[in-house]
Amino acid sequence: MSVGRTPSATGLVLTALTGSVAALGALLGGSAAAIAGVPVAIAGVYRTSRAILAGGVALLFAGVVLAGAGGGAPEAVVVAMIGTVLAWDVGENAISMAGQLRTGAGERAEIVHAAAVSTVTLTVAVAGYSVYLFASAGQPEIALSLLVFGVVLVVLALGR
Amino acid sequence: MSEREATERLSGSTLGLIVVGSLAVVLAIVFIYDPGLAPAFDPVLLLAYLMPLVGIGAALSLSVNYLRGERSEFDPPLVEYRSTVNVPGTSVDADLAGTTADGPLGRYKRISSVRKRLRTVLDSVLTRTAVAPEDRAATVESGDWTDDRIAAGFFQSSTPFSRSERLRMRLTGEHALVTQARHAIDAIADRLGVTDRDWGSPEQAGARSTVDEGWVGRLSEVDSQIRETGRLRIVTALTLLAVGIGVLLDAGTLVLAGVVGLGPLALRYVGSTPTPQLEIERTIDDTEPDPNGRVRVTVTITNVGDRMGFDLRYLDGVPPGLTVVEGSPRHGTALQPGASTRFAYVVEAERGEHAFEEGLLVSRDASGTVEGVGHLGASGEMRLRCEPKPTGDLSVPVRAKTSPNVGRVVTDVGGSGLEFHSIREYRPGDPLKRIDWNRVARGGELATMQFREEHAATVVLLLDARSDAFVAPERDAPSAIERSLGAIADVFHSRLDSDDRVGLGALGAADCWLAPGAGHGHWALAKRLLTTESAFTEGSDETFYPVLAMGRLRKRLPKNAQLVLFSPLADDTAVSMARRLHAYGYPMTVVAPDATATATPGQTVAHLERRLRLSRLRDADVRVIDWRRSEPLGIAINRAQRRWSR
Repeated sequence: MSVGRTPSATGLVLTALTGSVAALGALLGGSAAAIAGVPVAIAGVYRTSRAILAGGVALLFAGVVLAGAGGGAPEAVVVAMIGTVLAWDVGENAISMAGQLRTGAGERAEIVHAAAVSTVTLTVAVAGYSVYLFASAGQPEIALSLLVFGVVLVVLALGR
Repeated sequence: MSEREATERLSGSTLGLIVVGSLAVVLAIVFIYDPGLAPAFDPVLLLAYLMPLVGIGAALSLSVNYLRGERSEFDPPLVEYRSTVNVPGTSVDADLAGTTADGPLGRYKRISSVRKRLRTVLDSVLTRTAVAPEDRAATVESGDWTDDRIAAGFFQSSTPFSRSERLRMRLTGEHALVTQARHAIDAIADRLGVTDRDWGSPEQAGARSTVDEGWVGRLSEVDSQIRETGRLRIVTALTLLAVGIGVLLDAGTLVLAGVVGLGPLALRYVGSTPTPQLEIERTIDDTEPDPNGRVRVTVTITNVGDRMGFDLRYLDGVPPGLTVVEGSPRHGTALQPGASTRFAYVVEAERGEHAFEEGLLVSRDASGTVEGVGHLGASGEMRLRCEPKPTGDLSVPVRAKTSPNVGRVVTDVGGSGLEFHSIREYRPGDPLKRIDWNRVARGGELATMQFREEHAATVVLLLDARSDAFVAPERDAPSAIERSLGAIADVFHSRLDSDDRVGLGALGAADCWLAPGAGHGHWALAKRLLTTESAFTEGSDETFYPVLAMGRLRKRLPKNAQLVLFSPLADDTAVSMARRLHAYGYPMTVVAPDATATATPGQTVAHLERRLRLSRLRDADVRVIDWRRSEPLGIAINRAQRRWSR
């Protein structure tokens, strides 16, 4: 019997999967930097260290920024961002499971969690992308300013 | 969480931010739909640069604070281990490691207390190794007692380290006093001749304890609570960073990508707070196992509510006195209404009656941001009873202090019996068969043969059941109490078989007493006491007053009783109680199961202290049986008997 913090195989696989989606998206968007983030994120989950996982996610996100700023296709950038956000979410969940359940089983809850978060994230991404498609014609600058102003406020209020 | 709390979370400044932000977003969408409505000038152009900077700053501070520990997550106790048992010396290790102290001053105080404790040990060791008490202080101050200058320096006023050594320690983050303490422990152990230690080098801190993985405690110590885990702060940070950088670099795709992060955040607000209704059922494959038998516990969790349980993490209420040896008493799952799941684990049975505690449920909502912790009672089997099974061929030798009743203890009194004792002159009334007819036939005087009389002894077995006596050499090794209970059952049974009168008592906060008696009915009483007394399996939280307990015991003890005390000698009170009872005229034998190890410096200190206690008992003419770890008691008795005088 051991009470070590052992992450489940499911958690490792989910992190690898979502991280690869992020890396692939960034690669299609023209940035290879995110590939380095995948092993770091997996290592973070394996060592049950949130700091290392955050480092991996930061590398993935660097890929998103480089792809976005370098004029990559919006679809690729959005896919990369989805992968990045999910990589943190499933990775952190695996770490928390390992901390609270130790060697106990928690795969089912991890899969359900990953499915729920992915569904909502995809839905929001599709909605955002639709607005983007509609609005990509020349818009008044004030609209963008107000949009950013509002989004930052709401996110700050809800996500603290 | 109640609705009131939910609204509270959204009140005040948060609600204001949301309203203002939403208005801005709505306005922006209106302008996008109909650019004609937008004013020709841009009054909020400043905002377009200010807000991204605010967002990026907030994102950085959120993620840095989160990673620096501004997060909250329930840390469950290690139910796998017994919470009733301590490992002697752990506190010294904690003091040396600095985990118990806050700040450098607190740490220094802790180390000073360790120094004081070591000084006491050193003084005793020096006395035992031929240093006169009046020379002790001088020997310690001069450092002559050891070849190790670092060890000697721990008790001297000046530091033994050179400037370069101090510099090296500062660089490696080593604490000079801690190094000295380790060297001192090493040197004292060498001086006492304790050389077969698991912890070898004074430069190392020794084996890491499994308890570093978490805390050991009872589930009932945990408060029910609901908290925010804050795990999505990183997602918030990613969103703000994407939007901020996107605006600053004029990259629309990045702003678009930032929207993605709103998904998990939204899930946190559409999801309900976790209040699952579960039913737990527990089955045990053998509720009355043999000692050290393996018992399989199967737990079934059923969702009887009408809502989905997204993230359920259950910890079963393993009895505090039992250790899980296989599988895990924890299970994480997601359950639809009506669904159920099952898991199993194996515990090792220890003597006594063990009750399962309430389980603990950690449930999270779909996004994992709200975490509720609550207790959850289980139906089904709640108890596990493990009766002692005496083998019957083990007995602690008793002394020749006996009662007038006939028994099997061979005394030094001449009379009728089997073993020849002496010959004396004939007195009228002596039985004819004991007259030495051979001598008469040779023409001598009438003489009577005497044989050693065989009497019954009155033996009272005492168990040290104070909370200090709940010790084990390792977290999952057999505890001293558990070994004592087994030995007591054996000794009790075998002394009854040899027609002695046997009684049973506990030295502990809870009163427990069985007056000396004989016969098979008496064994049944003792067995019930040994099995059901919760003071033997879980200990007691009440304070133990030695004076009261001794007074109570002396009133009950018959005049001719002799005592056998089962105690790990984990503190000095046990020694003084044993010595005092012996001095009152009750011949004392102490059976001391060894519950100390030598894997760390702290454990070594506890080991040395126990050795010294054994010596102090022997000094007082108390018979001591040093019962080593993983050794049958019979062997320990044989070894001890060799050094006893009759």
